[in-house]
Amino acid sequence: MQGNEEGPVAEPRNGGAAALSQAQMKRLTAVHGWSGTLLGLLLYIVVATGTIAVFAQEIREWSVGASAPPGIDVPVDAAVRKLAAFMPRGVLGEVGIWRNSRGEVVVAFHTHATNPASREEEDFGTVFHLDPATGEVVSRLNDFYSDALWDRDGDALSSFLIDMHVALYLPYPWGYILVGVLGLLMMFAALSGLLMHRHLIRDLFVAARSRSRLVGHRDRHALASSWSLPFAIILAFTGSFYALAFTITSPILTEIAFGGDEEAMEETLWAPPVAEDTRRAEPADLDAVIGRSSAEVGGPAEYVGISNYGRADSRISVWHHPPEGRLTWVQTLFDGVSGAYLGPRPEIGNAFSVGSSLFALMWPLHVGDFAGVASKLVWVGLGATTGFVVLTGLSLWVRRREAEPAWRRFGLAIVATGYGVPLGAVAAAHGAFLSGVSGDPFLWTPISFFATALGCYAAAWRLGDPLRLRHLYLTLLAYGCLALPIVRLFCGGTSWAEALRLGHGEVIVIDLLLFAGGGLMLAWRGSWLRRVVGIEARQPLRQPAE
Amino acid sequence: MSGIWTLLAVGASLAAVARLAASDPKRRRVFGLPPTGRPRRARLLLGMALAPCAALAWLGTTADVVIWCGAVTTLGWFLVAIPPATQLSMAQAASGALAGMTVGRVGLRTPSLRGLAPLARRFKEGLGGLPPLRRVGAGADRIALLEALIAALEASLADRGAGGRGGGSPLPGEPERSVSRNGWRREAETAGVRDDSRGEPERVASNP
Amino acid sequence: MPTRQADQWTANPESLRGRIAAYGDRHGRPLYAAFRGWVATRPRLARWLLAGPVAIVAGLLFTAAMPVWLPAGSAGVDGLVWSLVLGPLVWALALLYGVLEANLMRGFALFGAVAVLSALLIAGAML
Repeated sequence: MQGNEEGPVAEPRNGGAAALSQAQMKRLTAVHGWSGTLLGLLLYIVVATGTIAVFAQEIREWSVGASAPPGIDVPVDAAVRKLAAFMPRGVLGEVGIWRNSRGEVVVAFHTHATNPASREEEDFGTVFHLDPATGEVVSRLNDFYSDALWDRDGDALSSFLIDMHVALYLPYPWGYILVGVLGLLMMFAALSGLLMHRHLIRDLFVAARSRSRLVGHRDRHALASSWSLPFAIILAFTGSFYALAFTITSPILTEIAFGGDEEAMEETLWAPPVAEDTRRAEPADLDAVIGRSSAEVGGPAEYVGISNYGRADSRISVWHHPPEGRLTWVQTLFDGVSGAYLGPRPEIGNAFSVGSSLFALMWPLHVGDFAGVASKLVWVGLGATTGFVVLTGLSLWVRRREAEPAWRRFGLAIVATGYGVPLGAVAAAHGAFLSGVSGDPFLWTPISFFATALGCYAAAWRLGDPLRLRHLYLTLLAYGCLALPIVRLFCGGTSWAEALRLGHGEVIVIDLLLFAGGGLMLAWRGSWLRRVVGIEARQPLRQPAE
Repeated sequence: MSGIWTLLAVGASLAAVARLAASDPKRRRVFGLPPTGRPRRARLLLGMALAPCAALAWLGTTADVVIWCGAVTTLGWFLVAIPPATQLSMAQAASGALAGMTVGRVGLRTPSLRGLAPLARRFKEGLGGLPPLRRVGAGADRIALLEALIAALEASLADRGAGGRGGGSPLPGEPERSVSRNGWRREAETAGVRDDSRGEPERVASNP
Repeated sequence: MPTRQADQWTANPESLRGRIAAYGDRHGRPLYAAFRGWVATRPRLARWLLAGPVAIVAGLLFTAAMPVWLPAGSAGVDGLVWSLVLGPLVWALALLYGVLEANLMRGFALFGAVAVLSALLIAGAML
């Protein structure tokens, strides 16, 4: 047997790939297991909320009761000119235009200023919500724009789910950093798992041998992680990129490459190249620009960004959803005075390159929204598989240590978290609808989620029996799902008749899915469905000498 | 390429994955299934699983390929994660629910679907010739029956050691022993276990 | 007459090479020996350090130095973009290496070399 400094080397895997010594395997197993155990529950929360948030747009539309409008397909030029005439020149440096889920046209005039509260450089200016038909101002807000303020333009439920996923609802930047560390952990776990699993190909078709034995737990974890390995690495990599790139990497690079000058960094990476010219100039017709861009790309504009509105050096960037068959968003650039088409522009930098293509791929590979519902369904499957991998890994760890009371308690926490996140999401939806009647949904949605989560842990502590706990959680989840469409309707939500009339299909589809999901869960809990598929009720069978 | 082609490509790949899983030697060994008796042709099946992706890459778009990758890894895992016994019971439940027919010894009630019987038998063989549905899922009962069998065999060995038919008294806690040819079955019945092996060739512990 | 290649370095003690060699003999060797002895007596703590803070610092410095040595590409910003995108992967691989490396001294030497080289590149770019 060959060896290295650490002793004998295990037999090569799968036809002779690089072998690891026993000490290396032991270390890898320890770090894989302990890091997964210590942070696995938090990682599961991030994965589970991310899986739900894949359909954040559809959830937003269901929550609001209206379908998202097909991009900026209404005239906006006249309204923007009228509003800009009253804005101080300072906030004309950046103008953003988009449509929110209620169909209103949002026009945001902003610049950068130091927020005295946070002492951070933030966007500052005025946001107008306009009626799409008449262009009249529906609402107006002057303030610093933190992320929370941008999110309030949507709805409480989808905003909360996204916030839980990207930052575990912790303040910036700590939430992002923690989620980024969890992404690193997931990448490490995937890579180390690949090295640890010596018969990955041979075991690729072996289902779990037993529902209760230790080997069955290992089979379940190994099978799910083997099949989901490539996408687990992709999701972890892209996720940790989004979490850490602008909290850790970007400040370091700004310091090294630009001497700490954030404006210079932003201009290099994001701003279109144009010589400064502060002379006043008549802005181009925005409607003509948007129309030309839509014709070039073959789809509606989702977002328009204007730099230095009303100046000779103005530029207009128009963003479009990925055209059919493509993965990445498309950006077109126009002269802000003449309206001349300057060509397509990459997401980062000013010329297309390998780096810009890689950057552009991060979003579609993480979010999976490049092909509408089809790709989103696949990404939900990937997220669910990843969540299953995390839970089975934790269960395997606890199963090996079942003799110790502390680990048995941790096992209950796993069950509470596994069911607690979907239960909390359903409770958050109930809270959003009920508080929407009179109250602040942005306050009561997170309260509902965390109260439910605490309730799940309290029940776990009190009941102490995993089977009874599962039964309880499944019952609550089933009835929660069945009640949700009714609560939505009674809290002033769009009825099915109105949804059909106005073409808001998401309302009906999600209501039906909730009814179906609740029904299936009740059937499973009542073991009817389990009998149909031939699965016995779970019994904790003890097996000797495992 | 439209979504329907991507769907077909995913379906074709999953069919190959299902065949790979059904014929995987380790899977069959682990679940106590007999070897298929036919050559596996793993490389051919792998090629058939990957060919739709190559077709999408050639004729379709990047989005199609990425969707194929995600769908096949997720659904492939789901397919493989279901044990053979559960697959069979799900298939039987689905076919029974659809057509009112039962697979196995009971026969087909719907005349127009009798032609499907050979297909159903082939499907059952593909899953390894598993025992009929009513045996599947009776794990606890089966274990108890086997334990009773072993107890009866031990008892008959002890009888033999004590000097022949009827010799030796039962040990404390042991059930009354019967020395007939069907002694093992009466033992099982005394133990309160339902013996559902009716119709199977009896494995009687023959006493000397 | 010098009998070993190393002796040529110290053949003239007044030269730069001679002074570096003398400094190494006086300070470097004892430090190295002390460190090696510490690693030998506390291998578990050394492993924690190697796969923990040392890997993190080396990974961060490597990421920060990437824009300096990576080609700028057609857009002129590829160095920055690759660094932004690949940072987390570099850190995960550094952690993996820190866990897997069988020879602790080799691990420390590799991370140390990466950190020093990266720091020099960064200092050069900032000056």
